[in-house]
Amino acid sequence: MDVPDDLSVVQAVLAGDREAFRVLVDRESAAVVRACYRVLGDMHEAEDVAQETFVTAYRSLATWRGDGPFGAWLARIAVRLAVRVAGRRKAVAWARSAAAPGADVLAAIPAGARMQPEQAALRAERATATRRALAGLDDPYREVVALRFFGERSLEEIATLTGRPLGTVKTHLRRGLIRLREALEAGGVA
Amino acid sequence: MSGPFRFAADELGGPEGRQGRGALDAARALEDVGNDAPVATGTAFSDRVMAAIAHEPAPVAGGFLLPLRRNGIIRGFAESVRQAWASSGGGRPAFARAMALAYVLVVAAAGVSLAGAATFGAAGALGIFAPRATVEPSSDPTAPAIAPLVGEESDESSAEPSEEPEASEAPEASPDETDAPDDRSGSEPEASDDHDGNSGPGGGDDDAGPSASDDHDGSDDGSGSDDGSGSGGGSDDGSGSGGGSDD
Repeated sequence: MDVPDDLSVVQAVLAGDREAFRVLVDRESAAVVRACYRVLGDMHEAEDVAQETFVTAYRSLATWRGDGPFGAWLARIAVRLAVRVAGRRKAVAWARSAAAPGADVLAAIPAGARMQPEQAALRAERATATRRALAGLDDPYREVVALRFFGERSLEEIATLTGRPLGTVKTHLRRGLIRLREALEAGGVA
Repeated sequence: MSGPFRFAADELGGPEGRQGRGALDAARALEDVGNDAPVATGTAFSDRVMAAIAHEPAPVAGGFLLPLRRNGIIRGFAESVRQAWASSGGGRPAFARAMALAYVLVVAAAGVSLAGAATFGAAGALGIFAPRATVEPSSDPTAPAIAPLVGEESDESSAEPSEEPEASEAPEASPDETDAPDDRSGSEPEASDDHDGNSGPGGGDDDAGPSASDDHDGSDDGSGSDDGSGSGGGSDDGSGSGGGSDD
């Protein structure tokens, strides 16, 4: 059975076949939810943002130029929305941590890692600090780093997505990682 | 796509110095965060997304202008405006929203203008805005004609104060010589012209009061200053010496 390519599916949706959009959702939902989860660290929030990502993509489907993978376009929308949500809840997350120290860290521990609770707790704490540090980066560094590490996009895809030269994207990635490292050091995590 | 997730150090151009190693450490930290992510989603998520987009307007290439191209201006206009209004809401790129909102506003402004023009035209056809026949000015000159003249003469008398009082005295002195009052009535316009040359006859003095009022009428017809001097001339004639002084 032939798998329809992104462009033909999008054209079908634009022609009025709303149900054809399900093909894109089935194909890309795992990557989108994963990207959102990496930014947010919460599965429920990640699914909500992933749904919003698909709705936003559906509304703007006519603006997709088709010059790159549809998944890369979705990943950019997802990362942007997830970072926005993470920025909004930052103050709330800090307040919750202060009220019950370690509670959110323990909740974030994966089930498979509970054999070594101390190590898992440290790992979860480090992950939370890394997410915060990423959300605190300035654009365009935040976007490039998030697309590369959370959206699982290659540097070439990011260059196509953002319309920037590949060398510029590499520079942004390098500087973004350096700033991220500095932020982690400043937070006492690294 | 970069695959299951391993960041290559050469993507940074190779670690160089302390900053390069720091960047690589940050990359490893991000990899650790990414490795905990879930791998797949179920069909429930797809159903949820499809239910969410069920109420969305269908995305169309060409945007809100497409109905105009498909159905023509007349038939596609309402659909075009409806799509533009729906597109001007949130969740869309800012440029697309701005374009859609501008389209809606232009259509609304054009509609209001057309409605206003039609209303004005209909009112004009019904005669609501027709101008009234203004006959009133004919009645006005009779009453105020005298009052302004008095004012004008008073203004002129301020320029020639010595002659005006004599003119008011002339009618009282002239009744003795009432020879040609009828001639004066016919020659009043000429009297104003003849102030310089005909000041001698002194008919104005004979006319007494009426002639003075006639002179005022003459001032209405022509130049007020000439009439004033005319009446003065008449009075001068009555006194005999005034005409000579005028000349």
